[in-house]
Amino acid sequence: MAISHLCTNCGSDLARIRARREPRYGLPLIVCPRCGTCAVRRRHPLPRRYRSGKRLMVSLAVLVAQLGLLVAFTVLALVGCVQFGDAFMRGDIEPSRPEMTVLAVLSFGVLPLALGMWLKAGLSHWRRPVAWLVFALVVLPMLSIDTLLLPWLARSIPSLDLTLQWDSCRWDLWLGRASALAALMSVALLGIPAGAGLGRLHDLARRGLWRFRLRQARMRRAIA
Amino acid sequence: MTAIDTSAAAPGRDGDGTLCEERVSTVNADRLCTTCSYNLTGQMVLREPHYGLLIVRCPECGTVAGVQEYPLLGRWANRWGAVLAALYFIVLLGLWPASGAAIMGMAFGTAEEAAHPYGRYLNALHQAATQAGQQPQGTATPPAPPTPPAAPGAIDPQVITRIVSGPAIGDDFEDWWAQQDAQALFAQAGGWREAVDWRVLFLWIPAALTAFVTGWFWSIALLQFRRRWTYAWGAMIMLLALLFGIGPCAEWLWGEVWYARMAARQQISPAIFLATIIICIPPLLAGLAAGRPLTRGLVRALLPPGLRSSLALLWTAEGLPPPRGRAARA
Repeated sequence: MAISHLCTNCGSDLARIRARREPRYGLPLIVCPRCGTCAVRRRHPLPRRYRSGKRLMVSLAVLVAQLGLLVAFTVLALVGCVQFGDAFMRGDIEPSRPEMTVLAVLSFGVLPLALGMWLKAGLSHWRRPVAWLVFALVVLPMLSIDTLLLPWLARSIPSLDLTLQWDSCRWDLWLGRASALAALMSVALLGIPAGAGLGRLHDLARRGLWRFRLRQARMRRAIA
Repeated sequence: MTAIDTSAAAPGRDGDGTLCEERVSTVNADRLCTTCSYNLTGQMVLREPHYGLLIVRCPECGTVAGVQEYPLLGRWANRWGAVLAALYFIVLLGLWPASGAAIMGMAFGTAEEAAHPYGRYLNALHQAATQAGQQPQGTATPPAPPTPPAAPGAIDPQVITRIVSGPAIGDDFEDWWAQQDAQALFAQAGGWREAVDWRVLFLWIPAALTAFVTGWFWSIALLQFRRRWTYAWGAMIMLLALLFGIGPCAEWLWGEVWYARMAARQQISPAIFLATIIICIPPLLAGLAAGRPLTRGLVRALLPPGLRSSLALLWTAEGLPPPRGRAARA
């Protein structure tokens, strides 16, 4: 038995009338045969909820991917700054060692360029300098945990009996790391134009997809 | 208006299609576009000129949504909804004890760690007493005076090995312990100040983080709850953590004492366990309070406006206006 569908104007039951896809708006339309009042049949909630759920999954996947990228870039930037900042301040940098060169290129070439591209293309909804600045301000305090914070804590509360690498605050190491971060973030600025290009390409692809879909829909309507 | 206008062109082709649409009202609630899931809140409800229907146009993809709809009486949507709701309920019901167990586990570990120095101290006392008892009577010397618990690095490795492996069951520690005044020994070891390993303060950091993340999770999982009800749920989680802790606490307090570390736990661990549970309450409440704003902030920071609309529930559940895209802001 069909589900009852009464006309809001004259009360006729429209249940037996088959909805037709209206060419102007693409809606499943019913016209009352008695009074001519139009009504739209409702789409079934199951496919609608499926589409909403799919959309939600896409949003969550992008959110998780963005979080993963944020964590990955933060950790890699920290490792690069700590390794090279400390080595620089201790005078341990040997450019003749090939692995050192590779690491330097990865840490201060590939990583910051990728970071800059992500800050521009991945976080395109942020105002231009804000994402870059926020990232630098997030990483900078992390660089001071073992050089400044923990030695200060150990000195302030001796009963904690902390076993630390350094007995006192190492401002020199912190300065080396901060300089490394400044260098890394400067190179990241170069990645921003590339990120902008990537973002434009993405937008173009999306627009093309929407144009294609609209063209298909119009062709279907024209055939109908 | 009595038949479907099959000769009508696509919107905009004749140029005056949108000009004659009468503005009726505005969408105030959450309603997603069926094509691109853009949130149509704030869009105008129009009376279209061809059929007199009420419609809303999506500003992102241009899809027309008919808002004059009839309730659907099909049963399968409700059935599937009920199945999904039941599954969600079962999962949440399973995660409730899991949350309590996670907090209890952190408190349990902290309580055991805190008693280690005192356990080593008692073990050293017991060893000294045993050695004194085994010496020949003619050459008996008074046992060495007990020393307060030493720093972990200064402990004799042999003593540590003995503590870790523990003496065999049937050793005389149980008898020796029964003859001792536990409170006096504890005071002699320095009481709460010296006998407890206060480096457990560092273990309170992961414990507090666990509680905070638990609170954050539940603030999102119980999105339909009002804020004060989520706090009540937090109390239920802590209650469960305490209930889970009754077993270990009873074992510490009234269980048989075979080793020095068991004796140490009897005096120290229940109090530290309770203290850790109490310490976990503020971070749990903070997670419950800040979980939703933090998640909204993360979504705003990391997702472009077009993808935020499907997470609009994070806003609408608390009566806030859902996130708007660039088009709506402009």
